[in-house]
Amino acid sequence: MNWEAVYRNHSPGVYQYLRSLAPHGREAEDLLQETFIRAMRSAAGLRQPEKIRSWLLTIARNLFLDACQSRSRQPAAPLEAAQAERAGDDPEAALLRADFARALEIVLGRLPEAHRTAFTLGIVQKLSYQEIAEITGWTLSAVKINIFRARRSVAAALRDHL
Amino acid sequence: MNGCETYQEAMSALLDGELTGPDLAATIRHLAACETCLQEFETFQALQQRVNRDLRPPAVPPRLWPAIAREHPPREARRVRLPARQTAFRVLRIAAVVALCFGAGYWLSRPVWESPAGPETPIVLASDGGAMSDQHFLALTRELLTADPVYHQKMYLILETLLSRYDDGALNSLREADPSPLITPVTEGEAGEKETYRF
Repeated sequence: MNWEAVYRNHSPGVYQYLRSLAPHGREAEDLLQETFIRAMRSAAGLRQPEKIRSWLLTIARNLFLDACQSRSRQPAAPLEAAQAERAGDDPEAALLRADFARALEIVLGRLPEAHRTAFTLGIVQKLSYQEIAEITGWTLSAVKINIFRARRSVAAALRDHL
Repeated sequence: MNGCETYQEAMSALLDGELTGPDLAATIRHLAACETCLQEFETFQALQQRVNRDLRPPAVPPRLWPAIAREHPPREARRVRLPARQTAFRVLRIAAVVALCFGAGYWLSRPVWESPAGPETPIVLASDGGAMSDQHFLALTRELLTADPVYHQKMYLILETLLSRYDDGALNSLREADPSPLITPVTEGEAGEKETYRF
């Protein structure tokens, strides 16, 4: 397996998910790094290569939950904007985008972990409910409810941005 | 309207393309009839559009991959795991090479019997006018018989055939010279398939 290519294709999505879970400083970076190291070490456990994205997200989530368990974790409070400006953007549009990304990050930081996961995987990354169920271990019904509640909370909080 | 909570979950799934069959039809009918739910559905749609348009995955810091690659060099390139059949075949090949080496070593280092008269001495008896004395011939024959006990009986027959042509007493001399069990007289019955040897 060409891990450099796997990293190139999937690290942005995994990083985005980890940023939604752990917006503090470099925690998401550390978790991303650990996710890929662990994936490479246990590559034999990947029986369906076409599901590598779900597999990586599962590892990332488990690492995050392990980190939460190993210390008494306070609800994540956003410290920085996640959104990088794209080269060649209209400055005003870029400002609006950054403003929306920052606001979303703040809202997500106030949600429970299940809703942050549901929002990032289901609404931002558009994974199927089945994939989310496989990553999280939730039932399909739980996936549906968590996505609905996350969506409703974020929509209510960001009404001014919509 | 009654049952809005149920339909709100369904319209979220509708937006994600996860609603099918009767649920899909029922949710659409409800949205057409319920202004409150329709407004919420439109809010959900607006949020989804905003996310799709304005949210991009954050740039991954470029320093991470070199650190990951350092932490875990690509072992697959160095260690190729062979299927079980290939592994068995490799073991057999190694065993065959080892056996060949041992066999060749044994063959090359085996004790080589050398005639007391030298390897090139022609076996021509003195009574035939040759260079080898009868006594020397007997000694040589005795060496052969003791060196190769497996075929000593056959050798004895050769000797007997040969000596009977030249000297009736020679065989007795040989017996006296070497009374070991290897040099035993062979009767007709014991000899079984007696062969005729010509020299």
